[in-house]
Amino acid sequence: MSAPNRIAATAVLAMGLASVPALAETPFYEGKTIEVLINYSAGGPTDVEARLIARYLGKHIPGNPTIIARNRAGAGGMIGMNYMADVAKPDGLTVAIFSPPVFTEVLGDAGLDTRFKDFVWLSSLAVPQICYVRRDTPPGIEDPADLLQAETFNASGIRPTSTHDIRMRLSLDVLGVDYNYVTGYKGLAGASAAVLQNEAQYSCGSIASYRSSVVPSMVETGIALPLFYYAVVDAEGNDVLDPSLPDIPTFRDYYRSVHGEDPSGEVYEVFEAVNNLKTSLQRGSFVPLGTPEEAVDALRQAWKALETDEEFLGAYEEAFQAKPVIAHGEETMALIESLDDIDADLVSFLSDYIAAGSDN
Amino acid sequence: MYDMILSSLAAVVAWPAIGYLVLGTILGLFFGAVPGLSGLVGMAILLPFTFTMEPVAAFAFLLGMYAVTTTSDTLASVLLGIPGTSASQATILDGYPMAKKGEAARALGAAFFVSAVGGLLGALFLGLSIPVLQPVILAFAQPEFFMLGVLALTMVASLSGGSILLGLVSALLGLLISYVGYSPTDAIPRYTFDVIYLFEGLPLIPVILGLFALPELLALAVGNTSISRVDQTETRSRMLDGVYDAIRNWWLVLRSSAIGCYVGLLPGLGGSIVDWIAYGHVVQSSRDKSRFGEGDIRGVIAPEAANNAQKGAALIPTVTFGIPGSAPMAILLGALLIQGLQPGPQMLTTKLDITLSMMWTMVIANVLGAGLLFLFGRYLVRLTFVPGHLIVPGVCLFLFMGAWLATSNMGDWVALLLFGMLGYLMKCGGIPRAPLVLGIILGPIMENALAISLSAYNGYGWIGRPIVVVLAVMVVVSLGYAIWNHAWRGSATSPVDGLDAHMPRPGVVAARPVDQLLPLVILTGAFVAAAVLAVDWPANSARFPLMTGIPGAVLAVVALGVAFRHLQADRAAGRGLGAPPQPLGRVLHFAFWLLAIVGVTILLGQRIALPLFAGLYLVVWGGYGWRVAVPYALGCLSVLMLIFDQVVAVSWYPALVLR
Repeated sequence: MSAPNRIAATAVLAMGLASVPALAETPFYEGKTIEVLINYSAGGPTDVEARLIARYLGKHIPGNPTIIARNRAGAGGMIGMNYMADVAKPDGLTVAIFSPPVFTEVLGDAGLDTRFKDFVWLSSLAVPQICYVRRDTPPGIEDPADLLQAETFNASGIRPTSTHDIRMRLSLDVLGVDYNYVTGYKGLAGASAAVLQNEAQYSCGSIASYRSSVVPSMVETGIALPLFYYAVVDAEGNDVLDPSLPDIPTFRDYYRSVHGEDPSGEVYEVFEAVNNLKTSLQRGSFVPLGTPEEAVDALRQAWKALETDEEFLGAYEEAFQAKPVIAHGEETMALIESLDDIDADLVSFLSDYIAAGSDN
Repeated sequence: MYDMILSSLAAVVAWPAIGYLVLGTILGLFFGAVPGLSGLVGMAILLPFTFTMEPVAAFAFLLGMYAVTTTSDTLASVLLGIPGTSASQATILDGYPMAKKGEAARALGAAFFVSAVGGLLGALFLGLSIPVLQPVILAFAQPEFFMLGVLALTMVASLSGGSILLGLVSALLGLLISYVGYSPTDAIPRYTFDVIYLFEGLPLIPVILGLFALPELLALAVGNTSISRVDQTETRSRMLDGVYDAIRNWWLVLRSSAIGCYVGLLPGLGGSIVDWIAYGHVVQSSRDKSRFGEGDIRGVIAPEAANNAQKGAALIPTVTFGIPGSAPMAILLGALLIQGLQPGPQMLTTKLDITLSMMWTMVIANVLGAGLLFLFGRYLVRLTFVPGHLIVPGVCLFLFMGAWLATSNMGDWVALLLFGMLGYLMKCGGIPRAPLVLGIILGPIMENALAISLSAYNGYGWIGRPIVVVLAVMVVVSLGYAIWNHAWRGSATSPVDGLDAHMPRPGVVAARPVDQLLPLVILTGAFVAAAVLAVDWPANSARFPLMTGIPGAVLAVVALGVAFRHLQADRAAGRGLGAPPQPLGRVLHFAFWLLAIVGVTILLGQRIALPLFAGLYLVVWGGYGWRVAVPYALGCLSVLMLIFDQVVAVSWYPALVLR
């Protein structure tokens, strides 16, 4: 074992001894090593978040297993999914912390060997996105409502098939504003840099990228104005407010304030479906079907324990500038099952919509 | 201000920050020296350990590591002909030939020295020029990036050695390869043939390792020469000689460092291209070009000064605007946030002490890293005098694992071996490989930037932007110079066209025309197929493939014609075909061994396949006894277990048996 690993393991062990009461029987994970698999390469947003979680997860698992993080990247996350389906054994020793390729699953891609429901889901993390616009977009935007009067502006995206782009276009179409969709920027950082350079005037980003890139260089300097964030809509049809964003309205609230009514229509319904899925399943953790129940229980308990682990919450909030919004076990499973209810109309609407975006 | 410069230095040299700096630097030397590992992997691995540190210590740890990967990556580039990281690919072109001539120590001495100087200049650049750089960075939007790509592409002329025609064919092939994967602007896959490994495009590292390192490995295995063709007793090359070389070329060191700073400053260009630009520049600007590609020390100095200088400058957009220019910088941005620091103008005002401490960290790490390498480098140089058969299995291990680290899929090895085959054919045919790499790197930058520019500025509304115009003028000048220079040099060295096929041509391995036929036929086919496949794609996705495939096919056919004429001229002169560089039987035999590594891996996994290969190779192919082979194999196993399993936590191939 390398020195850094040993230090980490010792630390995890020491903390674990302090927090977990002694159990009568030997815990499932006693003396074992859990491999946390990440479906994007080292250094990306998924990797950074998954490694952070991996670092704190172990101390909440009875038996204090050693945790190592490995990457299995490629094909927009599909290679990792296929690996979990085809190769990983249901022994509880391989745990995925992925950015699940939600749209590959929904639209159906021949490259994906598996379906989401073929796994036992432990939890999922929601990450809302915030949209912002340059104040000098002609004829000038003083107030968030002025967006509707703006002349044609450029909205910067990453890839036509990315949820970032799909949601951005859907929401702008719902609002009924005049915009030119420009895509191909390198990551959220590239898309926000384009707004800073006034090559584009409008974009959206996750809380972490919004707080790290957009706020210091554009919001605080008066260049850009935050407009709204996409919130998850719960079963009762209410927006789930994000505690990290008290000052920014949800998309629905914003729509109400500028149009005086609730958003509706086919495009909005698609937006809501897409956003609910993607926002709540930004990251997901699961194990192969057939994993022993005690392993699944131990892992789910550990995920729950993270929510009250002050040290983890502090580190997470510092890294991502937001509190983690975690859904657990049954809740995540219900979300995965809802994927089956998505009707064919929505799927074909989305395929056409993505293709139409590329045309201009 | 001066107080703050001194107090931030004091903060860096205070315990525990200095301890983390030294530890980080040593780890950085390791991440740089092992091919496939890099500053990015290092950042990802070390970041979690900084969560609980104080800011100065955290950045001393991360940046100490990050600063020196481009110092130690020269070791593999010069000694083994394998790029240690993607920032020292160009160093191979002259560094490895120097090792072959027994001058590895001199090459390393120069490289370490200029790495330190370049790193220092980059750090100073970071410290001094932040306030004035904001307008420059903001002025470089997508149209400017497109023009920068075009300008860099004119470098092909300098990287082509003797034949611009073959250089162009090679560069176009590189561009073509860069289109593999999902189109950046449309929801369609290009040239992926439903292979999901190709959906995100080919990763750079396996391609580079295949193109450059596999052919050299083959030469070692077939020839059993040591890397140095000169005996240790016959060479007096010392590391200090390299330092003198660097001092003699001080003006080049400064220019290369400046190139590094500018490339680092512009987000999105990054480390994999800075070495090529610096190399292209030194060839372009040198009066005597005859020794480039055959071990010219200037070809080592330029990329090595530039790749360290680039790093200090790369911090600027990250720290001051929150625009990370590369993946390691994205991680650094994360580290800033974890430390409760907001990137932005306040990093120059209220948090200036932190920014200055980063600068000092880069300064100290660069000097320390180079110093350590000066101390230990001479022992490593001895590697180049060891018989080839003892080197091959070890190099093979790092080559295969380096490629595997890209995505940890069997596709990495397939890419390594296929590009190894292509690299071998190109090497035999005297087709320069450097332009191909340039094409691969520039393709996505140019294509993306043009598509965005056309869409964001209403077509060609960007063409009058001042920097675009300046860059366009530079493109014309660079092209004009290349043509003039080529015509002048061409008329001076080849008075009778077609008869100089066997005359030594500068920068090009004297190739047999017959060896050019196969690669050129393959390339012609690839270009034609690429163009045909692209016809039905949407305009944005088809533009570059068509603009590459059609001229590529034409130029490849012209090159074929030239090769035929050379063949006829040779026959008319009664010269025959000439001897092949390596006996084909041995080449195929070695290829079989490499395929066996893949086969055994599928069956039993890498941790058995690679040590097994090492042992059997030494006994069967090398003629060594078990007393050498067994410890060697065990050594390979422990490298796999200690470095790749424990430190890097690589994802092993899930073998059929013995998972």
